[in-house]
Amino acid sequence: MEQVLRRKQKGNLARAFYRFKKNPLSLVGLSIILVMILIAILAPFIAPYPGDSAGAVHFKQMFQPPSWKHPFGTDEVGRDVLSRVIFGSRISLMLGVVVLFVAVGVGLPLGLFAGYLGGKVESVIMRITDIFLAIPPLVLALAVTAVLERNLYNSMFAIAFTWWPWYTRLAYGETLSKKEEDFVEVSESLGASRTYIMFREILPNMTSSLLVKITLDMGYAILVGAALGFLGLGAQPPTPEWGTLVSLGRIHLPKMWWLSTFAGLAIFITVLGFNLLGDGLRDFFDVEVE
Amino acid sequence: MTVLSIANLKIHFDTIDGTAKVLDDVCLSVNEAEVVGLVGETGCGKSVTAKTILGSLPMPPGKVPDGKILFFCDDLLKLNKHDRHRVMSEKMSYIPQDPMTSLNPVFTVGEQMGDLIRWQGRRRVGPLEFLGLRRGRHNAVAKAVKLLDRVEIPAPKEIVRRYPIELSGGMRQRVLIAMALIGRPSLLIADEPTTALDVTIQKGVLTLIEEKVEEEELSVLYITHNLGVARRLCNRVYVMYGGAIAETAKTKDLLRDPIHPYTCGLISSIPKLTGDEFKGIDGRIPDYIDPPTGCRFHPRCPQLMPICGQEKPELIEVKDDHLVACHLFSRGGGR
Amino acid sequence: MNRALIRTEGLCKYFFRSSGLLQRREIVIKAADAVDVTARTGETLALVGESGSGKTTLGKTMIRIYKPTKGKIWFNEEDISSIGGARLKKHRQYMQMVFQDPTSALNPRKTVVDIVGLPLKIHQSSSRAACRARVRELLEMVELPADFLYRYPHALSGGQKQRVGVARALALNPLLIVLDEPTSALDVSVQAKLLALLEQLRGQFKLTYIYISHDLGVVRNISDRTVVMYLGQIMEAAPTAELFKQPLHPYTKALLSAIPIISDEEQDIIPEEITLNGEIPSPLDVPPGCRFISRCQEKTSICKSKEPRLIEIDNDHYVKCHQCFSSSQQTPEEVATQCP
Repeated sequence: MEQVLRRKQKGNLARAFYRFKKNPLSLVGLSIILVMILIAILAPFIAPYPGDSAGAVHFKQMFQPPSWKHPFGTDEVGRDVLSRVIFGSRISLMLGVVVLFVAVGVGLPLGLFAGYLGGKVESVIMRITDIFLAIPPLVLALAVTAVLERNLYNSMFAIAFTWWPWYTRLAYGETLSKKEEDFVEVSESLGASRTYIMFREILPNMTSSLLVKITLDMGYAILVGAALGFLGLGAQPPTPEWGTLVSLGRIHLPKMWWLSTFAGLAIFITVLGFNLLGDGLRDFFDVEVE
Repeated sequence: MTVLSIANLKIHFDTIDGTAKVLDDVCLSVNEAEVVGLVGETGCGKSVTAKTILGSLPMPPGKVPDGKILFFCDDLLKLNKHDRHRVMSEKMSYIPQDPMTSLNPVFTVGEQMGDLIRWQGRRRVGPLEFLGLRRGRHNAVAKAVKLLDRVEIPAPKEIVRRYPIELSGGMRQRVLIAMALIGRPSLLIADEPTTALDVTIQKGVLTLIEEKVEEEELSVLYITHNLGVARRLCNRVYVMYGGAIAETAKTKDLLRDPIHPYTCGLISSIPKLTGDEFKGIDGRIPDYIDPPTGCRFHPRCPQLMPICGQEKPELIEVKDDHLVACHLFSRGGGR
Repeated sequence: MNRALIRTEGLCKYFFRSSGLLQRREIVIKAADAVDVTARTGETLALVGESGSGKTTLGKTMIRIYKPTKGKIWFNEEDISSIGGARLKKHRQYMQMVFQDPTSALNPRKTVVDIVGLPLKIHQSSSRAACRARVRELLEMVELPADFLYRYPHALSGGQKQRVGVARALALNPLLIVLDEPTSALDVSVQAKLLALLEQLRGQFKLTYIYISHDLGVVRNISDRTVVMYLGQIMEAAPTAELFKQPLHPYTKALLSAIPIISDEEQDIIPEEITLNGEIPSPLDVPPGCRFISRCQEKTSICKSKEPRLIEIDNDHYVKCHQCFSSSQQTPEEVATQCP
């Protein structure tokens, strides 16, 4: 009988924590993201004036600077900026999740098909992907939103529309390299179906690079969403979208600085959080792949 | 005269599961104009030993709690970075294991060899020379051609203009040998240079190394897992197991008359051309984080005694130039 | 002599590489070129040669992992060279393979039970419990403890991974297993144990092995017959003991003399010191005439002009070399050509 290692090895969680500990910035990123998610979920309970997230109007307290009562001040119709920024986190996170869900859902299978099946399928899929990749994403998203009605959902659609080719290319590259591994040949020689090989043999082997890209892209997607909002092509007022908030506050700069600043900070911190976490995950998986 | 002498070298690695005690009192020496083999299986610590000598082991996670590496008169572990670099670049060189990844794919063979020739023994070259605008003291390419000719590469003038990808594995290994010989080193460390090659190509490379060693009166520390290669090339071999030297003797003596149970097992594991029976060794290499107490080979040893699990055997001379670390032969032991 | 389990007739496997923008098929790599080879029931047939000799391609083409370009493959007297679909799937369970690199052969994201159970899942659609029971049984056959069931490959040593590969190959009770250098990534002490296990399994399940290797020491000890390949063709084929006693082809002699041996007894077996010129040429430009000519030291004028045929020179000993005939009494025309 083959001998087994006598010593008990540490569990996966302990290992993950050990690796993470070596990169404290990624822990900062992780905390930021967790806090953001918590804020988004608990928004109605922690926002001091939940009603202000929509179209409430309090003309008596217009343009108040930050104070104990309104830590982030109030806006041009007297709404509490803090409450609006808190509710904005829901929109931004939702935008990121939806965009990436669609992008991965569309891009990943296409990349798998192109990489594994090869031939004509590959040529067609990859040429279309290349065309999409040739146009800068923000420009393409602008073009799409310009055609459609201006609202949050259309802006999500527009961003997802520009995002999927990146996942096609990622999945394509990964599939090409994993296709050469012997275990794929084993499954083929056993007569496993193509679907099985693509989704059960190859796909699980790209989860780590996928996870890293999704995390990094969450930040970028939120940024693009905010940019569209800022340009007035995304969510429309009074929706408390961060980009829209920055845009609305812009005309009162520099005197009423609190209107734009806090929403902008929220964007900054969230994107930073996803980036730090993504970088940490990348180091983490690089080690694991060995 | 002793060129390299390692005494009681210990290397530890910090890992998530604890400290891996990889090298455990390694002692070995290489004399002038002697080819010494360091033989062992995967994970026995032979490459770690080579890397420690070369100073290419990452520290941390690696650390050296104890030991000496005397190279001529200098303790390499005590020298500062600059002195160590100077000593090594003057007198030591290295042939790596993998000829495929050891050459830079974006430069031609001539450029890579030329750089090495220019930098040899100097800390810096002038900016013009660095940019390739001035020829410098040597005519580097002409020298590279000459070196390639000496390692029996056909049409060396042609080869210097080629990129590594255009050469076969055997050719690349010859280029690497030529590069290792540039500085006229005293000690050559070869880390399994023929493992990636076919036997027919391996034979040519071994013959080449043999010739060069004789011509240049080199001392060589040749690391390999193949006892046949060691027999061909080495005057003396060290057999390593579990991060320690198990046995050392003249190659002929060791192969004809092995003493340590591990060496016996290793030799009897090799399938022979005569078709004689061969058998392996049960069990697996030790876990370095929680190594077996006493002799690290004792859990796999067919001649186990009670003392083996308690005390570490010391390397003792049992015959002329034949040292073994096994309780069967130590004072308190059996025979 | 046992009957043939698998036999090829003029088997060719060419790889086409398109070049240029128009995707024209231009470059042809003849990895296996008109090979006639037979593996008899219950024997171990060794394919040896340097890297680039086409031994792995031949092995994979024989069991239809690759589709042959030309030629026929008879498996149990049935031509499987061009079948497909359900018939091919049925035949696949009789022919399995163990790969060279144990790390690449096991999906790192699956546990042992899923890896070994995959053939059962595909071919017998057995239930999870039945599958697990069978995997447990298979692990026992390859001498691995049962608690390996839920381990991932990265927690196993090289030898253990290779045993898992063997267990997977055994899952469907195959008749033929192609072993592609199964021990080349392992240490000798582990190799010896694995080879002993393979030998025991062969006897136990009446298996036929095609053993691909470049290590003649291993081949000497485990195979019944040996086929020496060079640039996609057979150079010499003979019963192993005979081949090592009396190698005829200059290439076989050169391979033998290149082995780093460890004892003087072995030295006696090695014919004479032969050093090959240069390296194996690219399969893209195979020399005309005898394809070994560029490295041969015994070549004469006929070698360049005429390609030798593979001819039976002694009982079951085939060789493809002009020089071997001039030394023997027979001329090539007198000897009938047959596949080895």
